[in-house]
Amino acid sequence: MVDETRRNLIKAGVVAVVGSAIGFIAVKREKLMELLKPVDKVELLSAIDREYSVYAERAKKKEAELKRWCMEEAAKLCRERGEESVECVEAKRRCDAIQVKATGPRKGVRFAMAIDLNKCIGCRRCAYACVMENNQGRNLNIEWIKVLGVERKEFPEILGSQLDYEMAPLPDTVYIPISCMHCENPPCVMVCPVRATWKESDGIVVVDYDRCIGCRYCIAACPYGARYFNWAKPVVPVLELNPNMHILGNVPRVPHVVEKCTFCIQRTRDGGVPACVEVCPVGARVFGDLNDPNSPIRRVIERYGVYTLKSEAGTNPRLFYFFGPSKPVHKQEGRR
Amino acid sequence: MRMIMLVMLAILGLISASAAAVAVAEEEELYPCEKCHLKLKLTGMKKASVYHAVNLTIGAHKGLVCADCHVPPTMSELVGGVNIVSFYKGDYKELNVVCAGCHEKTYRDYVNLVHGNKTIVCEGEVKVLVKGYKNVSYWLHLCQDYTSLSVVPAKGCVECHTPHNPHYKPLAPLPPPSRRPPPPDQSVIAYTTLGVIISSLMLIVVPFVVELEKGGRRGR
Repeated sequence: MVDETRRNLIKAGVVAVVGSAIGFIAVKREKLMELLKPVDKVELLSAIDREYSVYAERAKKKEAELKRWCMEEAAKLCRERGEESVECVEAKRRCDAIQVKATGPRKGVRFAMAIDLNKCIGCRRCAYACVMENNQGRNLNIEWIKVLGVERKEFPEILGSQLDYEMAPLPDTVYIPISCMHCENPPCVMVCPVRATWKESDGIVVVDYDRCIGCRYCIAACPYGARYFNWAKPVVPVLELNPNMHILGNVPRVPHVVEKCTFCIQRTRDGGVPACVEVCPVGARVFGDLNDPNSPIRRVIERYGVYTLKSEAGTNPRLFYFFGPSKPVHKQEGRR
Repeated sequence: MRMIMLVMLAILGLISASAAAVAVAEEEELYPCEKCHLKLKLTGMKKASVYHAVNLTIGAHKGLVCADCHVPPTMSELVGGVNIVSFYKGDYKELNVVCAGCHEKTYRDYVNLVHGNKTIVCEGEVKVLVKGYKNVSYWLHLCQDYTSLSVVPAKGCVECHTPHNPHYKPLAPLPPPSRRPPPPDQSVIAYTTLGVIISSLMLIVVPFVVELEKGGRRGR
């Protein structure tokens, strides 16, 4: 009995030795060493050499899927309003125009935004433009941008800020629009168990909606409350659909994923500015490339200086705030 | 010979005079100033006609005089070289040179896309007004190709700031964010999960039981 056990053990040992020897000879040493290398932080945070062909493929599939869905919805609309109606024609044209892009980050670009708090009048036009531009579900009331009304005093307290004011701008109030800060050290990226969110090389923190499992760790980790979880399928009417889409950005979301501001990735990657920057009636928002010495954002940083929210959290945000040269508008009376 | 020359000169003079008359025809009714000022007994900065409703003793441009921007005597030409009469309803960005004369810092900011509205432009652009979320309207950019966008200043100075009183009046705020729909009830989730587990267990167990029963019958 003992002999048999010993013999079996020896057999197993010989098999293991031969197997590992074959492995040692057959597999390259470098490849083996790669397994032992610890994961680099840079690799974790920025996927510089991420293969965008994967996303391009997925974007193509998504585009076909969306077009099919859109045509179905348009057909429904046509049945309701009649084939010749303006809505029907417009919906069909909008469906044809749908483009899902997978534009990769340009090399040597680092996006940042700055908001002039002297100019901001708290009108919330940015929040609404964001909803429209990013195809957010109209049924979920998710707004990626929130505008805080904070009392203007020596130590302004974010905790006592107002979200639901109806009169603006009031004297002695600073309006602070907040959204995703696109941090350099994003805590949300670090806690994600499936690596569904990461920081791109141009500074945009993106979410891969297909990979997100909806665990909401990132929502708990974000110090700015910038991430939102959709509890139901977002409903977007066809006539309000923005046909300019990016697979990592404003493509209509599947239910039960986390979504957030992407600096309007579908616009900025192709040379535009985010919708909130465009729509701001007072021009309080400035957007640009930090690495370009002639960009608007560099001009703001060099001339006026900027600060960030919750700098003590060590997140190093890329959404800056500054007090510009103009007189605060708040001296005038508020409007309803 | 001399007579002919004189006649020629006279004709030339007449032609040029008539041309000048056409050019100033639109301003004729406003000029000379005494036409109104004497009739209305106005003195100094106070003006009464529609064109003259500007009061430079108040407002953000307080202390300036008309001639700081409008070149006398016709007043239709601005200091930057733009003529208002010929410009009428053109691109307002042409008038920026007037403002840039004094507000150089702000103008630099404006050119560098720091001050003022910015907008994106693309090829074959159509702007569509969409009324969407909570009935708030939004201008949607519909382009042929979304891969080549560029950013430009959206408006000229005078489109936001009235030149005669450049204070910007704040807009009314849009409605505050509404409450988000509550997440599904916890008990519903719990019962659903329990139901799924039980039914899957049934799916696994039932074939075994059926098989056993079959076997038992066969055995008998």
